[in-house]
Amino acid sequence: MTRSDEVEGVRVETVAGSSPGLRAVRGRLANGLTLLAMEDHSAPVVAVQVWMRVGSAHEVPGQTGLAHLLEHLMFKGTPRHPKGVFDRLLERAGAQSNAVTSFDCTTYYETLPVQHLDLALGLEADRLVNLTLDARSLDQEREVVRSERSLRVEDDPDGHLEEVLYGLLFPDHPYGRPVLGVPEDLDRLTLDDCLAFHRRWYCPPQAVLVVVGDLDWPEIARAVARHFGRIPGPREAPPAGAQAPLPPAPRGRREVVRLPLQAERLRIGWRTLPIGLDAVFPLEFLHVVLFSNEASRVHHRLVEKEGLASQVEGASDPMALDGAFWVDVALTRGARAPEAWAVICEEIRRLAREGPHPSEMRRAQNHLETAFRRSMASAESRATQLGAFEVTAGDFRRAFRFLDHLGRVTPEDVRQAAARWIDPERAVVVVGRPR
Amino acid sequence: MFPIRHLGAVRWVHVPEPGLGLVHLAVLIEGGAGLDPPGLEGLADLAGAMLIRGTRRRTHRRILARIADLGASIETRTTHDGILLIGEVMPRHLDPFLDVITDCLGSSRVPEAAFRREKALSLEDLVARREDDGDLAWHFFHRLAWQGHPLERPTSGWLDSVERIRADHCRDFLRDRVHRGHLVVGLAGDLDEASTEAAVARIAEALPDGNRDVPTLPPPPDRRGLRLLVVDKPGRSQVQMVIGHPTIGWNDPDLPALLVANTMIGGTWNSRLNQEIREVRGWSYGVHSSITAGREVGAFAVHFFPQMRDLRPALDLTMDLLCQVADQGLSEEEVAFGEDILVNQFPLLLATAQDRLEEALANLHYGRPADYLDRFPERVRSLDARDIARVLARHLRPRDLAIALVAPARQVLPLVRDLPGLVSLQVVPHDQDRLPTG
Repeated sequence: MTRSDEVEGVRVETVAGSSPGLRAVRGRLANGLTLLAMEDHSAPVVAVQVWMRVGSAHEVPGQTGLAHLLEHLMFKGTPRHPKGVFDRLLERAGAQSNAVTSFDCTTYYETLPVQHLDLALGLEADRLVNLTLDARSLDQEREVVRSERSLRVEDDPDGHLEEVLYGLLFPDHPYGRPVLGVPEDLDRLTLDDCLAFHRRWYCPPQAVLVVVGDLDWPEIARAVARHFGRIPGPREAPPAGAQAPLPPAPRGRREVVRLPLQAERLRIGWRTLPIGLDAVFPLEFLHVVLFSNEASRVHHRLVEKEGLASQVEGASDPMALDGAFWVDVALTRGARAPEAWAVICEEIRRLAREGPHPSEMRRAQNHLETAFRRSMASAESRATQLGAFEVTAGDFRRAFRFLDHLGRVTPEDVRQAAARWIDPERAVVVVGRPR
Repeated sequence: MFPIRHLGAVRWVHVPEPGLGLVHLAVLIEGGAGLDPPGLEGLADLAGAMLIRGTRRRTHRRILARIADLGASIETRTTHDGILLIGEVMPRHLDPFLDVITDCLGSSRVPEAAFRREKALSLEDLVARREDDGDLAWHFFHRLAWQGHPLERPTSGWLDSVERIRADHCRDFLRDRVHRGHLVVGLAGDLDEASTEAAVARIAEALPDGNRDVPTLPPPPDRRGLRLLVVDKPGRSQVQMVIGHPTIGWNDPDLPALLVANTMIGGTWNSRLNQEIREVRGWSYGVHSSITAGREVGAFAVHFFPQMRDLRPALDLTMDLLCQVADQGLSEEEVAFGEDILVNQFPLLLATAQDRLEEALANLHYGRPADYLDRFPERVRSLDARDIARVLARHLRPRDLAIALVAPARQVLPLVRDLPGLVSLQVVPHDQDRLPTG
């Protein structure tokens, strides 16, 4: 296949992959919709995902929670598929479907038997442009979102700590505001707000449609063109992405939160880098060497050797505009957060001074390659990788670039990343203390 | 679909998926928490964890380091019926990975220091459960639903029973259980059948012979009326609630019909419970009913989490709806819908090599017929509304429910005291792990 290939009005722009079995195609429809497709003949299923280039980072102050509330309302119907029909048709066809909103994007997804591809595409194309809403649906779904917030934040110490940490890392920025919204904003959102948000952001150029499954590329292209090709492009230029200026990275913030915990909890974060930069790769190595598995330095010290913690978790979380690196430590009863923090500081400083051992680099490479293979193990996870990198990093090929880059990251890259990005002096430290 | 092979007493299964770039390993040791002696609940779970915490050749740290070097993973999980060791590795590292696995299975020695650490972590986990209202509701639901039955005892044990477990208890348990007679091995992914057979032979060689001895569970106790347990936890913004009762397991031919019924009671978006509680009234972000089946017995349960003000109407609505379904069955349309969902979803249940391996092992673990997976769609399609009504009348017991609520007792008690059919109402502090006595 070459760049000039065109199937049923889908213009092929890019073909890329890490191996023949993992080759993805990017195509574009005349209305501006991006299509990412990958053949996966391991099972008779297909994953269909619509990634909208809009998330809570695109909300204006006072309207937090709007992107997420609209995500809920997107299941409420169109003139052709009234309320309830969408779920009934998909579920009856055996689909597993849902949606998720993040800072940078909103994703609608279904995985279903391959013979029902047309059904999924038809429903997604319809609700992209023909959504109908009423006040009753809005009120019902507002209640559901309140319940979701209670579940995920108010009654969940982990969710609460995460909200506090990101608020401190990104003050006065959408990344510092909760995706679910603050309750007062949620109460104020109107039907007009939701409809205006949908009109503004839900159009073909803002959508990345990902199809991965037991089909050949021409079959996928034809089906997509059949359902999405007739949607007109927007009359006005699509809105620019989230433009909120980033606040300066905080230095050395400390916060104590009283929560219904059995033992102290430590949540630490740093601001890092956006996902589109190659400099994020050494951060993944940092994470493996220090925190990510039972053999990592901090886990060994805190859990195995000193018995200060029962669990250590963390992640490098690069987003479209900026990134965060966070660590969560569940302390054992009687252990105090400053003791655990002192151990973490010691290990970070040692790594920033001496760099990782060559055996740790090999270990991290193997760990990250396994994680990549796992992320490509099902049609759904492949689609998620393609969509996430296309929307947040601007190019799905970064999903594969990561694998290519594993062998190029040096111990010195990792040492420098430790020194520069996770300096203990710059850390935001949130301590959850039992009430 | 996945033929079961035998290598002496060892049963094994191979699930190929060339090109995956990964190999999944599952080793099942039959006989789990059901064998815990009274007073030592949690023993199988802790002994299972100790399988990978030190051998005659390797310390715990060396096992962790070797697995990490390979970019692989291993972990153990214990159920009432068995201990499962699962792992994942890239094909090029399979050989050294199997070296560690055979060492762990064949010469685990439960070192004292590693045991003390693991036991301390188990106790921390038991305490940490109090922080998660959902986990707490499920924990107490199972204790209440299975009161007086072996399943009342949790797999992870009680705080005081775990305290009593010593390293030599674990050694004795592993010596008794880890032998070829109890061994089931599955490999899935990027390896051929000959390689799988060779891997199984390596694992089998590391283990002694032994006779298969798999305990069976008695039928559930016959308890009548509504029994309600309030797990008192202050400062909650919503009420986590699990409602249900013991039911049948995989060895009962009625199970497929019960699965169809559950799909339309609360198993899906279009089910009655989800429509009434979430879609129409917005009372709970999630509402779900499920059947979790073991070999001989299972549990039917509904889980949701309304605000305090919606608790009583949500509870009333749920119990009315369950009575209605038990008394009248489901409509033809609902049954057809439920069958469509289960049959059409079937390819998704087997979509990945790991999924297929889990299902193949479940056939063995739960004693399902060898052709269970092949015939599942056909068995579901053969059912009609009368079959479903008959099975619901027999197995759904909406007037004999165990109900566990996690909420501030002071607020919740006035709302539930007058529930029709209530035969017991108890309160337990959220930092206790057993049912109240008396």
